[in-house]
Amino acid sequence: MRGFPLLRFVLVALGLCVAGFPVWSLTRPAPPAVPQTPVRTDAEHREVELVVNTSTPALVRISSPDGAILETVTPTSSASARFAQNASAPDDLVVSARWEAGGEQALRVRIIQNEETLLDRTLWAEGELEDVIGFQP
Amino acid sequence: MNWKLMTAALVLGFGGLASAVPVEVASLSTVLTDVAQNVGGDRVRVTPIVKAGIDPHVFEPTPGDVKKISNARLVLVSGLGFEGYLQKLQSSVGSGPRFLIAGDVVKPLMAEETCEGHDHDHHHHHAHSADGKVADPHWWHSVKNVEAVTRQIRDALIALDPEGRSTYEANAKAFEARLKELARDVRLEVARLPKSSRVLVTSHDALGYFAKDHGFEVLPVQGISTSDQPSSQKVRDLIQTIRERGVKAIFAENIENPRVLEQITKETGAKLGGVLYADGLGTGETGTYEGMMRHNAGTIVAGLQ
Repeated sequence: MRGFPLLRFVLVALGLCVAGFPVWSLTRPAPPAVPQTPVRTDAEHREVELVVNTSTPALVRISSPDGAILETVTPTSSASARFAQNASAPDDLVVSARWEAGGEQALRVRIIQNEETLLDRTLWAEGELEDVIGFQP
Repeated sequence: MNWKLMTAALVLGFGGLASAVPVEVASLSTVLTDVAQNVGGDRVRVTPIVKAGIDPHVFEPTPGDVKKISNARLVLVSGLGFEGYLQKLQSSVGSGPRFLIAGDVVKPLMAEETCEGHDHDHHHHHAHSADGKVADPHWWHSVKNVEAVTRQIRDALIALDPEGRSTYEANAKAFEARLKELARDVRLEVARLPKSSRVLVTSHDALGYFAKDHGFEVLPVQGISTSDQPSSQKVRDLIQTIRERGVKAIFAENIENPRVLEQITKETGAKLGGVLYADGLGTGETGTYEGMMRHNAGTIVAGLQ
């Protein structure tokens, strides 16, 4: 192939990206399965967003006494779900996670309502985590 | 073996015997007995003066108990006014044993005192504050407090038996790790209950520390002492509140007569949720601190679900 070497490199890289996209889209981890919790918006409840980030991919489950709020089916580093939360007395959240990677791992949980962070907690564990996040009254 | 070797063996043998003599500890609390046994291991001998099933609010040491306490090097006391006889006891036994007051290392919760129908012949030496509140002496219902008391007992034993330092430190560290696991297990158990169901109706006001840790509201029939008797007006108000709040279960205690509670269940439709261990340990599965806490959390959640 003739031409400027830098141009040749850019063209080859572009070709690889185009050819690789279908492979990546087929093999990337599936997005987390979020149970469809009916969101109540009465006076007692507020709709909030639960955002979870982990240091390395993990299977994550977050539940309240009403049931699962978020449950991933493949290891993931980031997931979110919306749910209805009692505004005056928010229930505790049970946080479970399982990592394949060894060593100390972190899991960050945030509860956000209209861009305002209501709760921001990071839990640490090795291998497996099971604990409770409570809201202070 | 020549005579020098034999002498050395004898000296070492007696030395070994001397260090094998356990530190004598007397305990006025079933919870403290368990903690001391876990921290002290084979290096201590704990004599329980207050045993499971005895109501510590009305307990009085007998002359035999005073003798046992006099022979101890360390006496374990709950504190915060729980042992109304403490001053008399201390002057009876003199300066021999060292008294460890567990309440000194916890942050006390202040509770309303209900002196209606209170029998003033009974012990009642709770520390009153200026606003008429008293320190709740049932500190062991918060696992964090027991962690602090574990370290306090460890340090007291090291002071009395410095040779056992490594044993006491290792035992206390292992026990604290179990306490952290216990605290997490209790949190997980309680997390099954919605906040709106966390209303705890009990015989007397002994679960304030548990309630504070886990977001419960306590509605006691009696005050913080089992000798505080409720007025009929208070019982009527309580019945009304239980009806209004739709409380599903109320709880008796292992050393209480549950007659008043039975009357309340009849009038409100709430069920008796089971027996809680409020003033100390029980026997069998509730014979250890960890067992007692797991039992209480499980009973409360099962009753209110």
